[in-house]
Amino acid sequence: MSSRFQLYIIIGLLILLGGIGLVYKRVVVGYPLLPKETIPVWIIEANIKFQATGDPVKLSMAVPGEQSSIGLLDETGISTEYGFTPAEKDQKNRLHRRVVWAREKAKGEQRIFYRVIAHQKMHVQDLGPLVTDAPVRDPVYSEEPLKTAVNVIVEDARLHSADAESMTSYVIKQFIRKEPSQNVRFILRDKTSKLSRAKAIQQILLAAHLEVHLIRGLVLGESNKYQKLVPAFLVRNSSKDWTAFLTDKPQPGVPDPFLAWQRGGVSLIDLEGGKKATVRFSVLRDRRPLLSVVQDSAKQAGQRFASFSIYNLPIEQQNAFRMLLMVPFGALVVVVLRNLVGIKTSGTFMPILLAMAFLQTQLITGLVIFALVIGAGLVVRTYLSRLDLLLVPRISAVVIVVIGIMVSASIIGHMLQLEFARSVTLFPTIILAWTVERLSVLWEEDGGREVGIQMSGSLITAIVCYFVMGNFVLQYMVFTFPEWLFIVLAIILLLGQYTGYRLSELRRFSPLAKGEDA
Amino acid sequence: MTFAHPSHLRKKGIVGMNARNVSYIARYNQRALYPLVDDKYETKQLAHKHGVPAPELYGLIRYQHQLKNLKEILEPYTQFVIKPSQGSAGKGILVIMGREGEFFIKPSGEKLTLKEIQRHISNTLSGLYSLGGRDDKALIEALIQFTDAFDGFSYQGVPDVRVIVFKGFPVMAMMRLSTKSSDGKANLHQGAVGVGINIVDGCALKAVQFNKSILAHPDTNRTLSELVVPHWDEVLNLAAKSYEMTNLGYLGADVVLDKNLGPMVLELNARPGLAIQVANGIGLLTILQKIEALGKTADQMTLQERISFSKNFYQPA
Repeated sequence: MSSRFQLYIIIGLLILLGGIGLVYKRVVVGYPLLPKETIPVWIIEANIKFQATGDPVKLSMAVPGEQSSIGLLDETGISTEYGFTPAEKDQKNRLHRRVVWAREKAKGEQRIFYRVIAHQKMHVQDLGPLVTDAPVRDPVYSEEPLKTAVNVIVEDARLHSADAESMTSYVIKQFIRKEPSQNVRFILRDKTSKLSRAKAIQQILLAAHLEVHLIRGLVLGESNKYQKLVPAFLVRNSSKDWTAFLTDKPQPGVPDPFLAWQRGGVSLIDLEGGKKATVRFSVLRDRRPLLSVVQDSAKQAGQRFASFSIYNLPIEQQNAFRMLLMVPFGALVVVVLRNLVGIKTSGTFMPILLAMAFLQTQLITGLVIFALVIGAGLVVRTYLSRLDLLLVPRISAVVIVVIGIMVSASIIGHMLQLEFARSVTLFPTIILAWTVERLSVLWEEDGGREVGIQMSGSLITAIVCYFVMGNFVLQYMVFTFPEWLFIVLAIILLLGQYTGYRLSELRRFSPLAKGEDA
Repeated sequence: MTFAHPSHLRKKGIVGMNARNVSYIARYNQRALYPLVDDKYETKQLAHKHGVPAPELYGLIRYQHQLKNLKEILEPYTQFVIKPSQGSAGKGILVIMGREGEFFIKPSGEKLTLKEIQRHISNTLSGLYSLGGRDDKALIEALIQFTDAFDGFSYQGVPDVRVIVFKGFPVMAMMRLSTKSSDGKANLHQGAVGVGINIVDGCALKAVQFNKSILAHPDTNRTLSELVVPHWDEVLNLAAKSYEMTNLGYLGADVVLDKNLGPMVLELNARPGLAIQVANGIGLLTILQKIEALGKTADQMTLQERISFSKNFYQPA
């Protein structure tokens, strides 16, 4: 296998690896490709009101858990005098999560707020089987006279349906008809609320031996100050999956997005030491940066290894990587400018270090300081060269001189209140010293012209690096998707194979091309 | 500013930096062999082993403490050259043309003291001029008494012939003439004049300085087309032999012509520059590919066969 072939395989693998990583993080984990991407979130507030009787109060409320298409962030139970116990986050109990407020003693009207932020997930997530208790049949419906009415409705539904879904659909239809049958009217005779009607329908379906859960949830749409919980059925269908029905629509399906708030037979609110509890829901629609939503939801779910991400690191380490991760892009710039354009630089990666300093000092300030330090350094170095010093001591001397220049620039700058002089310390001292040394040798050996060429080449490269490495979008992208590094590496390897002309050579060899025409 | 279209350059067979590095240097020059040419002391010994003439070595300085004896080492010589053993691009080469009392005279007329020479060598030893700043040795060797054939073609310094040798075939040649602006050095980017030399007979083809065509030497005004390299076949011989010496597939051999000693190998270069194409007015690619196409046969050809192959193929612009 030729080395070139191997290289192409490596390049292919790197691109594949980077690409898979990018797609995975984008599609599965959901990190946004661009920093400004936002997604809609709903800030849902449950406003609980009740009359306390003067005894110890304990109030528990069913709250939503993570759902296959809706994720939850940041739940809080705001109330000044109540102790709040958040719900457990373990996977088994995600269907029956309850939060609890407690207070030693209270009297009069009490208000408690529960707030949770919901967002739609990037993709529907399989959360595993629903572990829940089988719904209970109300014994009232197995006693006369209700029993006969129920049986008639069930028999009729059986005749008109083929499976669980069509039966559910048929039964709902019977209950929402303008002129319902006598049996339906009899069952509904004392049911006025939407919830109680839904419960009655559930009982019919249970009598027909369907597995039906009654859930209540919120339809998330625009902001709404008074939103009601909407009841819905979950019916076990023939493929052992669940089909959702609104309790007043024969067509399967619930509005999307639908946040199931309460499931199973348990009550919405349990209250000890109080009465007349009411809950009012308000929904506020908002937009949030996708990135923070993804991070928070990973935190919320306690997923430590949700993804291979730098965001999992401690903050100081994150900051260290912020700059480090940009170096490959600087290297790419250097490769392009040297090998494709043909710019000469003094020292291969000096421009990158220079650019990193510029990033902290701002460009113009950085250039001014650089010119000052290098200029002063060159003057001193010219004198040092007359003193017969060995190489290492001489460079060390230059390092000290450079530091001295930096210190004096700082102090003078401070006395003259020049803001920019403060950032002088951000320059890499050793690099400056080496630059002084190299330039001075270059001057002696090759003359000022070569110094000019290499210096302007280095500065142009450093400035391009500055703009590339300082690019906010790029910084965000590589920080969120370090997989970009694979792709940068692949590009650099690919450029390593480039045998075409450099831009500078098109000029250098132009006399030869002219001969063509002559 | 004129820019050539890449397709024109390709048609002319011009080899660019990237192509040179990837397709020739990386492919034909084994890394392990580099020290043979990067270290001039090694090259000199290798030349000696293969019976290839090279400038006489007056002294070798490896350690700083030897500098104390520098006066004694230099005593017998009025003219000499001090070089870093691992220098590149002509860096750190100090030419002494004569003496005047305590002083040593550079080609430019500048006077140096012994101390200054000691400092130069000290810098050399600590790696100032060597690739990657490695510790180095300093060679003190004989100054070439260059042949009268080049009188008026060079302003000071030693004019040398650079021959590009590919797999033992001398494929292209040029003379490098130092000028005032190149400070007696023979490097084109420092302002030396490059004269393309016909591989067949050693006659000048055309000349360039700073990448521009010129007709006469800028300092001496001598017409450059009159230049003919004497002992041309001998020059080609030495150059081609450097392949046997080093096994480097793509190298530049720098040959100088001494008045009394004839052609000598001054140094070898594993990364020869591409300006030679401008000086010749033709690209290297055509002949390089022709030789690559020979495949295994090229390895069985004798030195003379290789030289005649190159001569037959060579077509000046």
